Amino acid sequence: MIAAGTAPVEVERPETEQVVEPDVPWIVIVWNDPINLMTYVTWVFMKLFGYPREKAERLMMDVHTKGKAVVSNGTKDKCEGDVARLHAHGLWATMQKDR
Amino acid sequence: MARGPFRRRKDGTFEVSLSPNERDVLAEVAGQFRALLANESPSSDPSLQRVFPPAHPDDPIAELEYEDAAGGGLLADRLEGLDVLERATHASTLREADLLACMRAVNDVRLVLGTRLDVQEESAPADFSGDAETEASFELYAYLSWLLGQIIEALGEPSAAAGPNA
Repeated sequence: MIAAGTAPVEVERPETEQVVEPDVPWIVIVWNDPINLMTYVTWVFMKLFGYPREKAERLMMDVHTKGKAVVSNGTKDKCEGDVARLHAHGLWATMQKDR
Repeated sequence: MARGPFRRRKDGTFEVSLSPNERDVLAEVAGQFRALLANESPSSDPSLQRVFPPAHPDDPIAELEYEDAAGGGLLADRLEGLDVLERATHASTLREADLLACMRAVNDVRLVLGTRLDVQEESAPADFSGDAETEASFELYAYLSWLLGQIIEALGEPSAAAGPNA
């Protein structure tokens, strides 16, 4: 049963649907290469990201043994800055959306 | 224990103990890398693709945006680093910022040499014997690898970055 006296409600619909890109975080990946020294890669991770030696060495070993490691994340702008700093130090870094 | 070519002083600067021959080699290397950067690009020389890798390998439009935003700065920083390395070949002391610039320049040259030599994880010196040019390139690569290790050792535990090129 429909309650008496209920008036139909007009709902305004937008003429076009806006597609809003979700605020997906980005990740920065460093890839293994046979040229960069392990000590150098560890040093760069410590220098650029302020990571303690243990974390920097673990990431370096992931790069070395697994072929890559995610070394930072954040907004697109932040990750592009991180990639540029890694590139300035000769590391093979790329970035992608974290999904 | 033999004394390395760079030694931190109490005032934070670094004493430079490179031999005349090492200084000549580094000056030559800096000049050659400067010429490479001036005359070639990542599209014309594969060894430079390793020095300037893509940030967005699967997205050409995003990669163009990245190159527009960062590419010029990365090239300018490398040219400035070569200036510092060339000055360092005449120096008896270096500031830490200058030694950091030398470190990056030395590693860049290693990337170019290593790419051209096709150095692999399992590579051994014997793999690069045979012709004089290859042997000389590998000898230089090995020297720069040793020198980079010495720079890292002299710098010690890094302090966190303070700027985009720290």
